[in-house]
Amino acid sequence: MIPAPPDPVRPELDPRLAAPTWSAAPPPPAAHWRSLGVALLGLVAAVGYLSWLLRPERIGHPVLFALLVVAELFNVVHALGFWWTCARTGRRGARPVVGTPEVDVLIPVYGEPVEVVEPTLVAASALRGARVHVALLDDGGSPEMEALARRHGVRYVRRSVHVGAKAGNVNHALGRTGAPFVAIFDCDHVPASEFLERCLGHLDDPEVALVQTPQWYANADDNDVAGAAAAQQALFFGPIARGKDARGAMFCCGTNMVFRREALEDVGGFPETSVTEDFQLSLRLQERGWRTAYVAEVLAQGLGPEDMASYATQQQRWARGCLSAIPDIVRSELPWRAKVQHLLSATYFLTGWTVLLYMTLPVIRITTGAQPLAGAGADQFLTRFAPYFGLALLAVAVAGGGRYTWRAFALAFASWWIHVYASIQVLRRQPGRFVVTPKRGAGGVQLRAVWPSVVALGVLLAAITYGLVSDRSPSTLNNAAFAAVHVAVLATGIRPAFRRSDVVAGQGAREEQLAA
Amino acid sequence: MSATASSLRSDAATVRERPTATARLLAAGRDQAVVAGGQLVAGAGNLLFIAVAARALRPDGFGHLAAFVAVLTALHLPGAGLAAAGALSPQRARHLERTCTRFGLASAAVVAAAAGPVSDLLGLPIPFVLALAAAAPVAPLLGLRRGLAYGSRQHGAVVASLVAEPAARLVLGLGLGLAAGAAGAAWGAAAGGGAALLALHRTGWRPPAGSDREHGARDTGAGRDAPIGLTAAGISFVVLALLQHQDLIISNRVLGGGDAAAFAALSTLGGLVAFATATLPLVLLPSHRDRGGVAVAVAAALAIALGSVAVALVGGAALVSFAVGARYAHVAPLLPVYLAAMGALGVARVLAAHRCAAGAGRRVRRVALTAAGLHVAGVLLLARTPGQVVAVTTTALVGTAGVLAFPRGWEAPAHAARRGWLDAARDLWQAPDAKLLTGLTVVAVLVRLATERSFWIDEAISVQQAQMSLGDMLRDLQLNDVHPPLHHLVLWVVVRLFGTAEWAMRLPSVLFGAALVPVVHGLTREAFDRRTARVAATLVVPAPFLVWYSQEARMYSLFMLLGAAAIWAQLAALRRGRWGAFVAWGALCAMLVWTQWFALLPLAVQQVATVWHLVRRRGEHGTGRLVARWLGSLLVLALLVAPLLPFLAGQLSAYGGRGAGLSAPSAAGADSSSVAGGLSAYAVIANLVWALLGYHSDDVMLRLGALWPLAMLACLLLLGRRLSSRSRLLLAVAVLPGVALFAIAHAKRDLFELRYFVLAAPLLLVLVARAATTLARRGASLGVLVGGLLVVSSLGLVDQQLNGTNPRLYDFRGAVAAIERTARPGDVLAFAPTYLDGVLDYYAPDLEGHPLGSFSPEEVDGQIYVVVSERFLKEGAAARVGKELAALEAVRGTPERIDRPNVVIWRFS
Repeated sequence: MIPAPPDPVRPELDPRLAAPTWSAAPPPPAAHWRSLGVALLGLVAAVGYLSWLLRPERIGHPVLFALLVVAELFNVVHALGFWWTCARTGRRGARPVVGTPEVDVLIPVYGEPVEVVEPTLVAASALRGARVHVALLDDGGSPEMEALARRHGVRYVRRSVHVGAKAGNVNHALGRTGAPFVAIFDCDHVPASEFLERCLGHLDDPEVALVQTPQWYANADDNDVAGAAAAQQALFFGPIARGKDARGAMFCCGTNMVFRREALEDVGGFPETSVTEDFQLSLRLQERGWRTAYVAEVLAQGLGPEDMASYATQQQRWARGCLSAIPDIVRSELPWRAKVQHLLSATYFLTGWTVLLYMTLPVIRITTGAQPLAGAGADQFLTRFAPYFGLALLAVAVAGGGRYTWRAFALAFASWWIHVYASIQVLRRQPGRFVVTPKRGAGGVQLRAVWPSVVALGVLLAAITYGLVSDRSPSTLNNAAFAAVHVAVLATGIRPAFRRSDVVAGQGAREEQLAA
Repeated sequence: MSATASSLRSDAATVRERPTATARLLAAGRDQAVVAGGQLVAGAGNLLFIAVAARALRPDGFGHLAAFVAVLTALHLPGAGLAAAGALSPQRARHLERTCTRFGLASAAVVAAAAGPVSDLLGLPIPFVLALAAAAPVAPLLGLRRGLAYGSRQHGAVVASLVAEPAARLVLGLGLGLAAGAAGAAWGAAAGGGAALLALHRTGWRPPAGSDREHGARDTGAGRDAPIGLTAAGISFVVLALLQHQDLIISNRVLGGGDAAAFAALSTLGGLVAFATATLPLVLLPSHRDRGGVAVAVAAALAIALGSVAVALVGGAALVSFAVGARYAHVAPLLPVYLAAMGALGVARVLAAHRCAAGAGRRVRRVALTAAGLHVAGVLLLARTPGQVVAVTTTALVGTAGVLAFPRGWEAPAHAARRGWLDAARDLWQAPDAKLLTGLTVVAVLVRLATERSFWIDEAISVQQAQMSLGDMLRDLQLNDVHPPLHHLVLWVVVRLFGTAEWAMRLPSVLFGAALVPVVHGLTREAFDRRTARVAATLVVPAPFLVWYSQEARMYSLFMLLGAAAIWAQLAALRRGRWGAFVAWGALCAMLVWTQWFALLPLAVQQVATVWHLVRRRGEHGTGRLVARWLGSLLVLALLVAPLLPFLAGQLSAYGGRGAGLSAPSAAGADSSSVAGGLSAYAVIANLVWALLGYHSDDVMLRLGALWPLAMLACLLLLGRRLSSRSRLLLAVAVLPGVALFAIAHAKRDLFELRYFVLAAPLLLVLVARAATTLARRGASLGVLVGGLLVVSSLGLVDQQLNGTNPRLYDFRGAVAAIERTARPGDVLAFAPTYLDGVLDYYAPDLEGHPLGSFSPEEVDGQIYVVVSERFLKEGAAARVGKELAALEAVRGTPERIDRPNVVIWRFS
């Protein structure tokens, strides 16, 4: 018996088919200048803070002081890097497509549900501005996918040997296709019909190897994890990606991009040994003199992680891949700007160590009395630290156009352990495994995805309780307040792990509504 | 044919039944005479009760009883209005019964619940206050029921009620008085009202249940929409009743002790005339269409007036001596004039009744209110002797009667059918949040009344200034002060009305502080939404900082109220573009400037924000109109502030001349806490803590300041939340004046002090409310959040109010009490710094006080008390005080030290 085909694409059920709720376009000049102004003030505040901090008389407990200085320097460097990146913003005008070039559109899949893939396939087949050859690269060997490809008249490609994960899958397809340009979409990213019209024009420049466009999670409004992840993406694909593009340092982000086949062949295709094949590929391309371009326009919409486990999986992969790329970046012969930009991106995944330190310091102070700083009252610290902290936050808020939210910050903060774990794995040279980010959220408690943060939360609460019971001096209260701030941020960050994914409930409700 | 015949028969019957003019006059005269007789008996009975009580009770008890009867009379004043309304239109007024009952019961509950504070306020023992509470439900109901009886022409019932009241007082009051003293007499006096109410039932009268016509009553209007102006009539009669008494109340404050007593004697006799004419208008009201009735009532009032004047002319001195004692005989020459004034009041009441019944109630109300206002102003500003009070009162009352008698301009206006105040008030009561706001405001008043705090120096200076004549006060403010005069003018009036008691001096601040509840609600609703407005209004009630300044006899409570109202008006004006809102905004801004010079800072922020708003709107439809109206509001502001400029110039000149106020208190506050002593980050934190959690001891402030990392959390929570333009405006008005003063404070530290940008406190509460409603979308979570905020705020309030180590607490009252416990004649009080003289003079007017170092200890035979408030001593002054104390110790030996909050007393024997 032949199974009945699934329902045709129903736009009312799939947010990816609606208009995007975010724009990656550069802000008006006035907003950009405002952002620059805040960055400059932040720079002054950062210098003021460090010049106050880096004095011998500030040394309290030497080890703690050293750790604090390292953490603060790391964060100040990243803040400076962020401001430097955002100081320029790429403003690429539209470039018309010459003729009707041929484009291979590759859609790798690996066990994703048909209803996730089908809209992508339909949209890819409808791309305008080129002669499009869509290929569904099924690494899962699924008969449903084969039937889906047949139903929509697209090429179905299946490997007999599964090596190199997604990179291997794409490389395998590259050997079986021949168009001069190659567009790649993750199977959940539905491209807009004008995707190629907007991107191909930039490939007229023969030195441009790839044109990247933003990733935007269409389910951002339906799910708090996806929403927070989308806010993080908005910061990256907004001011950061525009700044990187302006400095010639934009890198491939795995989906929603068009390659020049010649460039891919020049570097031997996607690297198959990394879990962040896209980042590594960008390094190789730029080392070979190829340039990259970024079109700041949402031309494809995907699905963000809908639960903590999915988010942790995604972050682990990114952290692992980027951290392992650090030696390659350092050794590369890239221009210094591009090198610094890539280092900033890769070392971001060390931030978790600083979070761990910041959480630990008040606990140590409350329980042992040891503290990193000496020779300064809390008011002095406040006077020097508060402007830096406030302006850093303001810079993020202004540069990100208000898209970076408290939940996004809390989710990133609660991911501290992922950075720590990934860096330990990289140091121990443990082989990584490419794990596809789940495209559908799961319900129930996901303690595994957050247990280190739960432990941290417990320790902080215990320290606060102990501090309040044993000594209510202003100094203890100050540290307890710091601990309380961490508790609030952690609790917000891990909260989604303790409730049913509301997108499931939301979708169920939507379907029931439609059925009614 | 038969119809015509029937009609003719009917007309004929009507002609037959229509009484003659003489009969009508006689009937009207009979009605008036019957009721006036009852009133006469009632007056005599009440007089007898007082006379017997005066002889039977101990002097202090009688004093309490007399004061109680005065308050009881005041309690029945609104009854005059209700009686008028009932007499004018029983059909409509009877619907007020339930409202009167509810209001009376609620008043009773409030008075009983707040018996302690009310007892302090009135200076009456608790049992008297409880008797007052017992009388409260009866007072409005009795007025209304009597009015209904007048309206339905049940004059027998009226008389029974009038007579029952003194009868019950005589029987119950004197009986209980003999058994339980003055308090028993008071309960008996209170029971008189109940008996009067009961008498209306016992005589068989019942309020009309259906149409008044069924019961023989005649409604003077044509139905519910008739242009009667019931509310206006009621208010007019209350105001006329006030006109009778207010000169006594004010002259008691304006005149010296002897003169005040002399005028009181006059007022007592004049009151008899007013009392005798009190029933005339009420009998007249239901029969106003009857020209005979009007003529009889006017004639009766004139007869009583002229008769009493004649008696006064013939035997004034004897009458005064007989009634109030020979020592007041010197006021006898004033008696005829004053009795004529009271007679004129009687005539005015009759004419007012006639005009109200003819549908001109609103105009009568306007006349009565104008007369009352001019009367108060005249007595306050012009009268300094009993003769001048009599002259002003006579002018006011004769003038009122004259205006009411003037034949033209009293036709019922065409638009008279519009809705009255009562309907508007009812709509207001039914409006969303009205009941919540009323409840919150009442609680806010009670919270703000609950204080035992002593005056501190600034308050005492204000009280001292408010006791001067108006000209002297303004001169003193110009030469020796640094504030504009509006709040001092308020205090000046309050001193004349209620004296200089702590509660009286703080009453304006209490009321302004409580009024902040509805104003903050309105502002928040205008800026955001009703949900946020409810939260903000709730947070205002226990907000410690707001409570603190609502309990201080200074201008900061008014500053906050006017500032919040000005921003409300600004938002309303810019949103709706109405002229009224722009004018109100301009006027409120001007009042702010009249209140505090530092108000210029928030005003500047408001105006800059407006310019910004208008620039951003340029080219949009309606922007030109907004600009024109905004310029209009600036014109209003300029016109109202212009008269203040010479005052400001004088103040600046004097300020420069005296070396920037070195002799004045050093803005006592900014340095009143060592936590905020320097101009550091903690000074900013301290001001923020004060704004949200109130004043606390240095120890508590250090701990609260240490919690600053929580502010980081607040910043993080703001990530991704765009501030609306309204939020930005509120934030700017709250923060920028503080920032400006922080910058200025580098040159003059005292100026970075929250009370100079006091508007920040209510605005921060509004923003906190906004944050709460934004963060907590669901009702339950919002409830928990607001509950938590209220708990924190209440804890702050309790610590602020009760913790004796609060550095803002100055217990001069306690210090003086401690001195008075051991002081003997011949003792000397020395103090430092020199400007403690005002506050010590307030609490210890009988003690001989000198600045420390201004006399030689050898010249003093008695003890020497040295009172020092160290917080006000600068470094050099502290050293000098130490030297003086050492010198005293060398002569007198080791002193006894007594510590009160922020005040130290050394007692040298």
